[in-house]
Amino acid sequence: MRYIEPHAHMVSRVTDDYERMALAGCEAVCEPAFWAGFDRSSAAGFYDYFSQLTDHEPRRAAKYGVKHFTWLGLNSKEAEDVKLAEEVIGLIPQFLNRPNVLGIGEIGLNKNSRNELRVLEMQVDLAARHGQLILVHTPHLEDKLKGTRLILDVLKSDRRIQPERVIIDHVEEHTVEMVLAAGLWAGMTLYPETKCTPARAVDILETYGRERLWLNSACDWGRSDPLAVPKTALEMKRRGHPAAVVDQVVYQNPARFLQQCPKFKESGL
Amino acid sequence: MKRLDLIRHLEHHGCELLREGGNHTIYVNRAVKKVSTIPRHREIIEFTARKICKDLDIPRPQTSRSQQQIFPHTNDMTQQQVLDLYFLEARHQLVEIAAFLDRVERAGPPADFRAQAFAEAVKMLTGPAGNKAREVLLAFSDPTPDPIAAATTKAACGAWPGPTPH
Repeated sequence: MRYIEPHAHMVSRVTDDYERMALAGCEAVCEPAFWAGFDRSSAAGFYDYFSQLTDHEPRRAAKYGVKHFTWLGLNSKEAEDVKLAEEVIGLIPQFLNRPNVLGIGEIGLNKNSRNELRVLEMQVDLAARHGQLILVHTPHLEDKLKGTRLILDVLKSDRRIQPERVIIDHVEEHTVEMVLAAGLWAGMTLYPETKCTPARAVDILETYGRERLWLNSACDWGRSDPLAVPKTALEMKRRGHPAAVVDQVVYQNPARFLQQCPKFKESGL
Repeated sequence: MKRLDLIRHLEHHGCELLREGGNHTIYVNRAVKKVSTIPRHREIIEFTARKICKDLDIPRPQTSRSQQQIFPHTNDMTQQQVLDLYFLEARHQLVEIAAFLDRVERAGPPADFRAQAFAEAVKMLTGPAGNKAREVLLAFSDPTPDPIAAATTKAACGAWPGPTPH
């Protein structure tokens, strides 16, 4: 089986995880910029992080034959400080031409505050000005419903944004329909306690169709599983889904969305 | 499916264009006095197409034979098969929930807003067929529309405390 891991925070994973993912059939991993678990004290910390994502991490992945791509942005957990956010957003354009950069992400909301919303609008504007794909993080747990609605309002209000070039990640049963109905792509994240389990993700695929949905592990420094995508493929097989359908969900769908970025298309995936 | 194919299907079953809205086209089935809105996207997802047909009280569209081979309707498992595959796991999870509730009760009052939210969400388990997971998630969600003034924490706790924090 082959698969693409479209959302994984590999900087917080050990090298053994690359080996396990490669053994399970992972051909490419896409790593959005995210919160480090603590607030960085200055924009310089982000410069180093973006360098790590665009230089060091692709080399680490390549040792296991896995192609590494990345998304650059400021996570909403660090968006309350608007001045810092402006400095970080100002750093991003100089990295956009690097060969593994797919677009702007993961941007979005966390607690649905006014400053988070303002910084989201700034990053959507950045993506629009530079013709970049967008990967959006939706809030956790009780904040997800409201945050997803606010995010859709921001995207719909910017006429430069083409919905088919945006993926809204971490959807669940109560948010997937509004995302797909808006013409956007939707990502399901497979976590042990929050977000989706493999069984629920397959339920959503069976209910809402497979045209614009992908699966990801979003593995990071918290409780998470870098093999969550192949485990969900196994769940599909247990229910009798043929190999062609599994391949569509875990490989062709992410490839189809990501090929809108010429750098991904040129990679031959 | 393609939007054009869906519209052909609606018109084949006697539905008519009622009017164009801002982002949708509105179709009517005058025979049963039902209306539905069709998004103006080139592709209409299976779920939405099925809902539109249900709204208009007409049969859902059939996919072509080749599409059926590649994208079969996957909720074709029988109830027996679903039970065989998931019953023990679901039973285990239900006992875990029961034990959790016993634990909360043994600890005694006062319980915070999460206990009340949990009790409300449990009621959704006897709700309408096919929407229970969605309804449970909605029961825990912040239903308000406006952004908050400022984030005072980064973490979510799993249940909305209400407009006035408890």
